[in-house]
Amino acid sequence: MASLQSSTIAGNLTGANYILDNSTDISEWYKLSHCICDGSAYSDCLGTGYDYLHVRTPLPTKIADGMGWNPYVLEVVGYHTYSAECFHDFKAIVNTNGYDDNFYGSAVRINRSGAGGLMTPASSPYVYESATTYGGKKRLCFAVRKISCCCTGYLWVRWWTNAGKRTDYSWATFHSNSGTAYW
Amino acid sequence: MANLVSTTINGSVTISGQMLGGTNSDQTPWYKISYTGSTTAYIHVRTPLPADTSYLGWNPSILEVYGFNGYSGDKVHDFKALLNVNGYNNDWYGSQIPMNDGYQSSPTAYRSSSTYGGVTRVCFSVRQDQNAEPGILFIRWWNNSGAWNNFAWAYTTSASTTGAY
Repeated sequence: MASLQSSTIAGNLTGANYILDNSTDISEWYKLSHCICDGSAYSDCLGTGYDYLHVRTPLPTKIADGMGWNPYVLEVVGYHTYSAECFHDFKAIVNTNGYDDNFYGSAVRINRSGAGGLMTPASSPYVYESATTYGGKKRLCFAVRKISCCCTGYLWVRWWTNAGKRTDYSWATFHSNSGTAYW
Repeated sequence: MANLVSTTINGSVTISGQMLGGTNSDQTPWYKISYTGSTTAYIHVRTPLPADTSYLGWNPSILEVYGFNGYSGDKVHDFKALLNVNGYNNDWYGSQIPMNDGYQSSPTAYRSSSTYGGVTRVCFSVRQDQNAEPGILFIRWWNNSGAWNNFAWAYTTSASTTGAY
């Protein structure tokens, strides 16, 4: 891999994968699409999907992974569906107790999710730690509202500091009838 | 044009053109418009984003606008609008603004009534200070970032919230 000392680019710069600015330690936005169309009894395609979309991020949550007393900001923007029935635009402070490894990062401090077709709470964001491990790690997860139809929706997710953990583990999404816990 | 597979720049990188970011995130860069306010009530911006099924059909984008007009924050703009086109019949219903933290902004997103470069475009209007003071708008959208450089930008003023384009 080439390492440049510095560079001036006269034209445009495009990253086919991602571009990170290590000086700010902010992860790049990660885009997720969602539509649960598995054809089972609870499927958006059948109009029987659940009300909440749960996202499991690559971020670990434990002291052993460097997260104790290391608060950071989780930021989420997105929508579901065509008429902004659910519109998401929030920032949450995430933290793990450095003494006892307890997660207490469920503080959604800025919520500009607005009033979509479902009105408040059109977003209802909730941030939590996964109950079990994935890839050997407890993970940072969150839930937001969705509606039950196989309609387009996207979420963009990033966090401020700890950008290096962006690609450590895989992402996952699924729907649930609970707004507080799935993973 | 050089295409790097991967690189790390230990110092700084300066880009004279646009930083289009990682294509995985599907966001456009910010586009900046500097202008001087006029006595007309609204400034209208015509974006390069087509307002038809070529991009937006059942595939909404989020239009994000940030900016101000006037030395004292007389008008401050900070909104996100969801843009959508009916994928069956090409009808526009992308005027939803679910997030608006502006001050005397009065944003309106609409589709141009005429075509420009052969396509109707996503347009929006916001208030002006009406005192010939500096104004700056920063504009980007989320999803359909591939439409970023397809057409030229334009802006004008109007006494109405829609219909300038």
